[in-house]
Amino acid sequence: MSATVNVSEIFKIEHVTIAYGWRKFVAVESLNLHLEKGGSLALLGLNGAGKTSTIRLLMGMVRPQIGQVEIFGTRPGDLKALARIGFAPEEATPPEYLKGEEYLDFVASFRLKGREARKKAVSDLMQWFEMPAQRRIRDYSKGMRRKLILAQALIGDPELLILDEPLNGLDPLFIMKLRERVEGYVKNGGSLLLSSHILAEVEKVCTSVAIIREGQVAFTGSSAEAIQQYGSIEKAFAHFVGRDGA
Amino acid sequence: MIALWRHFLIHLFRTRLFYLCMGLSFFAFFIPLKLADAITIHVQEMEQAITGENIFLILFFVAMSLGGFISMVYGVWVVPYLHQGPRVFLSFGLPVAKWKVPIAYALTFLCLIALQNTIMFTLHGFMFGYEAYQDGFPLKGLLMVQLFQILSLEVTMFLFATLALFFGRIAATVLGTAIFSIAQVCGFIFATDLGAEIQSKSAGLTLVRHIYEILPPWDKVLVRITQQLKEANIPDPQLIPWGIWLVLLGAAFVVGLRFPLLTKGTD
Repeated sequence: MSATVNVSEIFKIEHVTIAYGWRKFVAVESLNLHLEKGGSLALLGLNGAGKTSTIRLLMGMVRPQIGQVEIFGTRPGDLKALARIGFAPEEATPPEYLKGEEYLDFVASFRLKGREARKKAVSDLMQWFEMPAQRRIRDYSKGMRRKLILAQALIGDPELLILDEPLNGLDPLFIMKLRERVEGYVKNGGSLLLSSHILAEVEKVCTSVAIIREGQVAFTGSSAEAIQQYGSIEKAFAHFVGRDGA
Repeated sequence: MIALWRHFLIHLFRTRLFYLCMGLSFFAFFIPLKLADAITIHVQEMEQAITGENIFLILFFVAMSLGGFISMVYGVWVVPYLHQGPRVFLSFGLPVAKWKVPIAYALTFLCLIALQNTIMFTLHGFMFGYEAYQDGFPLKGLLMVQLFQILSLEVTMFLFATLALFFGRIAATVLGTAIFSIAQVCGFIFATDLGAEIQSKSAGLTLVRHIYEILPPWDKVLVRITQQLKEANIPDPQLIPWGIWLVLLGAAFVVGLRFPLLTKGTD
């Protein structure tokens, strides 16, 4: 008997518990989540609910104490899986001794083959994100650094985009521009996992939501379902993690 | 691998450490060479200038001391930069095998050692003439000395880098220096009759000796360098523990990269 791999499945998290440190602080408990190819899932929850831990789990940075995780049919952290993921972490600082262009070229050297392809991808991204190519990252503003982190995640057209609080530090005009790009990415068959506190944006971009409360999934379903039942994603969120849900 | 190495070289060349080390290397080699050039030893009415292998010995002693300092600074301040704190999430997400990372760091550090040695040989040639490297020059011995130099400095660099990755920079400086000093002091004690005498009376010291024996043999490097340069003792079994330690520390470093949450954020 051989195990079959569901090719339309991007990732599958089954009954996962994550605990940190010697004291085994439980960040996530009995978590079940999955994402199909072309889907866009929003991870919602209060600070410390377990969203970032879930993302770290998918990236292979933490291992589950209990349960199973598969991403692209393999274990998280596998090089083949990492090559198919574009990841923009919430807290990150690119190496400050490089210029923005150099950093993107460095990331592209692991994701794209051929010097010309790399050069073109980097130049397109620098232009699209309106970043100064020749300035050192140490001289970038907070917003520019954020843009650079998002840009590196888009190199090589990844099959799965993991964005952890992508809108922090961005101006409203650029948020609109980015939203259009992410919507286009999903329409073209890309898969998205988005963690954000800006629920209005989540409602516009994601087709399904998972609300996490104290490390456990309190609600999972389509965005349409959540809006139909509770009026909006914001109200559904308040219901499950706010006073209504307490 | 090439992309990693290129990136690490850019990092190295854009830090002040690089220019500091090169400047320091120049003066550290220039001063003893100038002194050796000026000094004439008088022994029983015979005049003897410091020449040949003796000058190289002095230079390698200086190179090892300076190299130890550079390996500490490179290991503690440069290597962990991309793998700690907020940068770790970006570095971890790159689709590159983690075992390639220490190899790229080892190659980058090798360039630093090569530059240091280039300064040393150029200065020596400039002051004493390049004829010194011709007939009768112990080339094989010199190559073995360089092998000792590279392996011992790479081990020292990875010791500091791995400690910095897991415990933070300050703790790494203290711990690494302590391990290095203990190995030196133990080496001195156990090489003397006094050490053997105390050891016969103390079970604790026997345990210390066992620990000392598995530590990298820092205390024996200068002795080996002297022997290799004078006698060209090839092959040298003393290279084996250095090789083993390099592999072990490289593996420990990879564990730190593979499980970033085990490592220390920042100081």
